[in-house]
Amino acid sequence: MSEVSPSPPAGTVAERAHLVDQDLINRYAQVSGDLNPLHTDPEFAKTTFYGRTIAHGMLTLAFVSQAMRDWVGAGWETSGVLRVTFVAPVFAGDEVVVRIEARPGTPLCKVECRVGDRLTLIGEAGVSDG
Amino acid sequence: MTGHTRYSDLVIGARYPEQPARYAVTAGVVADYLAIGGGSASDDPTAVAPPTLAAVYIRPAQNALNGPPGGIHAKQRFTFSAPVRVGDTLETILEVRELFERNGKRYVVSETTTRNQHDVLVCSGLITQVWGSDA
Repeated sequence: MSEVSPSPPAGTVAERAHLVDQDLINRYAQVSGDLNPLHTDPEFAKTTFYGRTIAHGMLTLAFVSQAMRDWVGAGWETSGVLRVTFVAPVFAGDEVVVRIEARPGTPLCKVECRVGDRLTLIGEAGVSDG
Repeated sequence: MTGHTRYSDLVIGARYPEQPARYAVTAGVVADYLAIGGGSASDDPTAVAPPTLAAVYIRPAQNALNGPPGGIHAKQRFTFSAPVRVGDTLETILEVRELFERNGKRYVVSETTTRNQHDVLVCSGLITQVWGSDA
């Protein structure tokens, strides 16, 4: 895991890796109250397009949020902005790498999550200057 | 009969639930959420929660929409306007903003508005979800 600067100049990148196993998915389901069986019931998940359980998209936001808190400080909690698209599922057993990159001319960082070469989330996050 | 809301019954402008969904922010939930995200909780009894705890505290309003199982989350926007702290009581209302079909999938776009016990706006959200099968 790389260290994160509180005032990252453009081009600075932070990356963090998180293992998403079924236990973590189940814990998130309990915390969030999102008990969709697509996430928690392997037998149900077999009947779906995905064929196996997938993580809640919102679970990966917990990873992004922690990285952003360390990246931009308390401003993230008071005036943060987050816009993401979940482009591919995260399956139980996947290792998700969160990548945040500061960009020139905007307070919003580029955010990506990947599992290997598979992009699972894209978007931007930062602190509103408005 | 599934007991779930059918896509054909959704109406733009409809609000869920009828009264704002209330959520009490506890130290336990914040600690659990932080642990999932790779962080750790502080001992401060009024600690600031991770802003994306919004994904959790808007859930009762989303549950009121009562979609069928198998739906998935496609996009999410959050704008955080004020910190949420342990001990806060939040109220969220969800409003259906857009309904459309694309590539054989049925989408619902909903806006969430969350205020704290002081009637301060803490978070606005825009959710795009793929509706599960009504069958």
